Amino acid sequence: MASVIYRIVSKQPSGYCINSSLLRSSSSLKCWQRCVTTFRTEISDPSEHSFDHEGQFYTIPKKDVQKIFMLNWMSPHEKNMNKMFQEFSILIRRPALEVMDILKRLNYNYPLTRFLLYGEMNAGKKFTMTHIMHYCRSQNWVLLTVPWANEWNCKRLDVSFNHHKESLFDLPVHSKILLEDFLLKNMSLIKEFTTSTTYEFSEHEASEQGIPLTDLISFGITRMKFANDVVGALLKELQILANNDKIKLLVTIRGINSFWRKTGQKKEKVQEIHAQQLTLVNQFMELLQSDTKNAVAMCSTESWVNDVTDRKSYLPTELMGKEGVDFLEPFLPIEVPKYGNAELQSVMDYYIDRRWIQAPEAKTLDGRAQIKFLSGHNPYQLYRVCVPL
Amino acid sequence: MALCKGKTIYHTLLGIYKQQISTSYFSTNKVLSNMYKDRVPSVQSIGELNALCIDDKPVEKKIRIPAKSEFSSAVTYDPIVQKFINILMRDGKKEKTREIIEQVLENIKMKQIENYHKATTDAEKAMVVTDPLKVFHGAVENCKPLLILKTIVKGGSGYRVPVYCHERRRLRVGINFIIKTCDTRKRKVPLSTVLATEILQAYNNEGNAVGKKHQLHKECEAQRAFAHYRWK
Repeated sequence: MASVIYRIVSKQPSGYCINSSLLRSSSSLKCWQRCVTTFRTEISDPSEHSFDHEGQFYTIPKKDVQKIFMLNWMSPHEKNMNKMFQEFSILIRRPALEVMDILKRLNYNYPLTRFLLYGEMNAGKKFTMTHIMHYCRSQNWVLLTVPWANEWNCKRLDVSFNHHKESLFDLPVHSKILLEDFLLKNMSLIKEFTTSTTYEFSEHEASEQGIPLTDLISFGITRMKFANDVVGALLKELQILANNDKIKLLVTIRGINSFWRKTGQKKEKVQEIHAQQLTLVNQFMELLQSDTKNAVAMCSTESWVNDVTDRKSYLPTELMGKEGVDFLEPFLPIEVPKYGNAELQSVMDYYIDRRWIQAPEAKTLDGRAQIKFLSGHNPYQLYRVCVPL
Repeated sequence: MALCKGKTIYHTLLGIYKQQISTSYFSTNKVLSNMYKDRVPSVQSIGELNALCIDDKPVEKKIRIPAKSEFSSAVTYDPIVQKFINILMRDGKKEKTREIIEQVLENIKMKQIENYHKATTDAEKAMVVTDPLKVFHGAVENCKPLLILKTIVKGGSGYRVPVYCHERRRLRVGINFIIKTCDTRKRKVPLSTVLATEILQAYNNEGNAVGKKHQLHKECEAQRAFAHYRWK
């Protein structure tokens, strides 16, 4: 059997790739143009990005990566990419530029604006969100992030009854993680602020008026029993601060369509808990519907939330249902499409530069066309196809 | 998945045929014979046929074997990797093994590229081999034994005789060394990571797989006295 293999191989290599590459690189205009156009910009400040930079890569400085994105936001796959390439760089794409263009011209005296990102699986919704988050960080905004909202439904940790409302359920561990994440990101920005009112958590314990905000959060981290109530208090405090023009707030929720689904959580006799019965979901829905000034909410719908059998649909009406769309309206829908032709070429240039593509056959025009066909313009599949090359 | 998609290509070809021809043709097993049933032959009379072959000699018949599903002319195709997949496969689960091998190549590539970008000078960068297929081929090459032991019965008792073997057999034995060292892994460690570390070690002439090869060579040298039984 192996002899059959060798016979075919001996026919293959000569002529096929080498000839075509030599011929085309010498003659065609396209190849020359690709050499001239660059795929990188040296501007690392996202507020200076404009539509001229579309389809180019920019690197996020290492300080910002460790402070904002490293802890909860990045998935293990993205961490591996970061470790392997020794840099964290992002393609500048049209949907992110559109959102940033709107944010620059927005009137912040109006109640909060809601963006909704939607698109196919692995189309790059998360990276557009990182781009916008980096922009807001450069403008000294306060970031409140929920890296993966479906975790409240799926990850079974502690569940407890709420003291104030009997119908609601607390998730102490999840809210503790959220508080830690918030504190690490915005430590320098909230140092000076203090609480406006008193909050009673139980009969014995309460937080007084006028203590610093960081103390309130650290109280929630140390006493996990009251962590969920502290989240509610923090959201109210942030709303008051934003209304007084002291801060600007960006709320990012990834996978918001998990708010209208059944959960896998259980508590004693209650076997089925709907996501609407969780206190965390209720608190965030209150924040989204409130009339706070100086605040922007950025949500995304993900088809990963659904079961394996029906993940094909990606439109927000199909994923969130009528209930969800009615809740979010009015919102600004922004589609994140798959790669276009020009973007695909620049990404392949980047991969060649970083040595992810290194076979000489793949660098030719024929090889590029093959990779383009196999990937189907999908960003993650493009990465996958280039593994053995 | 990206390595080779033989079966899917076959199915797409079938789909193209199905558009042109009615579905009743595909109800039987003999698809091809049904497809050519209605076609008019290009040579009509016997006289034309005789004009084609003047010498009255019968035309040589070539046996045509259908190509295997793994062959392709894509950039991602590589014969030794396909051989490795076929040996690693259990219970006909080819897709699963393909995924494992893809992850192995990914792991090797990740480690090597990280070392490449960490290196500061050009001389250090030139030392690192980042091509995963080169590493893969080198590792298999290092594990190939020169001689193997074969039992030959002579006068009622068996002897283990060192024997020279051809290229195909050497490749199979070398691949088996790599796979069998990874079988003794711990339960929860995925196979792809163990294979990746083993292959990287074998590329540098270290590790258990290369040790097995050296052990076989030693045994061959110990059994040198029976080498002449090979000819009788």
